[in-house]
Amino acid sequence: MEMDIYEIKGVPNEEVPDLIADLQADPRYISHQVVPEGGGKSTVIAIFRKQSDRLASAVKVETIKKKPPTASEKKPR
Amino acid sequence: MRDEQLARVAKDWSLVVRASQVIPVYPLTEDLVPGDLFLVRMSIPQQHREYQRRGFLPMDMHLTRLNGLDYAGLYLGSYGTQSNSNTPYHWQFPPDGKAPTTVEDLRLLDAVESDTGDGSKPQPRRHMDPTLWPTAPRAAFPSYTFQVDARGGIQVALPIQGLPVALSMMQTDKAFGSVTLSDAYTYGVPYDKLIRSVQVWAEKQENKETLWMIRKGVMKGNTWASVLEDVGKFIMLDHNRRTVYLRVVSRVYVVGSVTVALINTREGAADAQIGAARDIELLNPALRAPKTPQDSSQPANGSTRPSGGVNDGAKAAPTPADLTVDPNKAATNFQKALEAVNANLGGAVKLQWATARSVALDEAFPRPLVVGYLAFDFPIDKDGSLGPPIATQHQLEGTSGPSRITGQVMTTVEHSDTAPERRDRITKWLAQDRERVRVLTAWLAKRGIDMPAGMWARSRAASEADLTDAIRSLSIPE
Repeated sequence: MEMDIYEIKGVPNEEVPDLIADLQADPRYISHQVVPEGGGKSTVIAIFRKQSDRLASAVKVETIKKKPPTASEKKPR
Repeated sequence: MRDEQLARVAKDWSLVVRASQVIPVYPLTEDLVPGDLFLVRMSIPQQHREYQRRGFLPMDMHLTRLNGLDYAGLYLGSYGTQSNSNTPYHWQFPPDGKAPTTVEDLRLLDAVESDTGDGSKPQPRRHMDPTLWPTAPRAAFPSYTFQVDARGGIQVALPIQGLPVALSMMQTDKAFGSVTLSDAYTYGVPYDKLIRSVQVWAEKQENKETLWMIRKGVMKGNTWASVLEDVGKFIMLDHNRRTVYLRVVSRVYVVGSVTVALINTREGAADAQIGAARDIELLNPALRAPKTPQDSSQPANGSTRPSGGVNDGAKAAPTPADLTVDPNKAATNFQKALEAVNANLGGAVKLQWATARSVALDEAFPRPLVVGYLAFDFPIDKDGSLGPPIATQHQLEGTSGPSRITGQVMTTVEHSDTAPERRDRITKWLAQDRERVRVLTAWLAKRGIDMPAGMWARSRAASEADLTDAIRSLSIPE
């Protein structure tokens, strides 16, 4: 298995649960660890399966087509 | 010839352990724990060849031991890890007053077979010293069989005193045997709980320099002993070994006793078995010895194995007369043989059961010993830093497929407080529906960013312009 390991330092402790929920929602998620830093902050380490091109193609990206600029938005020549 | 025999013992024993998907330790030791870092000085193909040839991989140099691993967090405080921070030593050497000494203590720990009932000191079922190992996570190994033929040489060599004892008891030169590792326990820490400690150790300047010097010496084809004279005696390098690895032990398996069972397969014995079931229970220490020859005609342990009377024993030509004619005399002989052995081994060998054709011996260690481990390896890069981790077991076995762990060792980012409104907007949007994590991940992937979405949104990796772009592209509402 190919893996990537990510570490984010200085995360406020109150943000950690939300961050972990985001990490766990990623289909590549394997595991994580929270290391307290002191001062109300923590380091979060996460292990993911390596990014593959299939993921990008498998997920339908919500793209919003840009509307043509209105007359008022057009730059005056 | 003697060197070959010694090597044979090491390999045969290691093959027994390897059959359970565990990397063998040889010689057995109790001084190996998760968090031990060793230097491995061979390339992966060389390790594989060496492993196949010798059966085990010698661990040359113990670099350090990472203490303070979070066993309580891993086991959620169970197995006694909540009240003790010195795992595994609280199992190995129970604190004062905690060691099981009474029959009740041992029964609670499932460490005795039964109450002796005669007031004698209770004996642990398996390993000899009173420990709290029975409260550790349990493991079980299957039995392994082997052939013994003294005329052609013993087909297996194990570092177990019980084997030659059993052979001599049966006075045979041909036998079929099995070895069982019992009283087994295991404990360890997963990769994600070890990686940070390994990184911290490896990033220390003095350690990094040491690793750099080791690798430099190896790459030059020199013994790095010339660079580090004080530790040079541990390493003997040849000129083809070009890679150095840092091996991190993550799990160990310990065993408290070994049971060896042998069945006489001499032709005469086999014939006797076919012609008339003639097993004779000579001695079973858990049972009362038969008072008369007739009493021994039924196996007192209630087994369903057919058993003939002692008169049948007279038909068995190959067995020595004193072992077949008079069971009580044979029992005495066994006991005397054991006493002689135990005089040298400190009472380590115990007769489990014996018949005219078979014998089983328990060999208990004073305390459980490590017989195998699991680990992962980091190659040491040119600058002394660590490369991507590789699962040790798979590289030694030479297996392919999803075994090789590759990738960056670690991508480190800092949490950011800039543009808090935009970050807050994105993280709240993710929190409302976690499926959106995939959407943001895919958006990032198209921009060549493979960082987890939640981590990206909170870190300096996301600039203010990136955040604005993401909000606009994905129509993230306020």
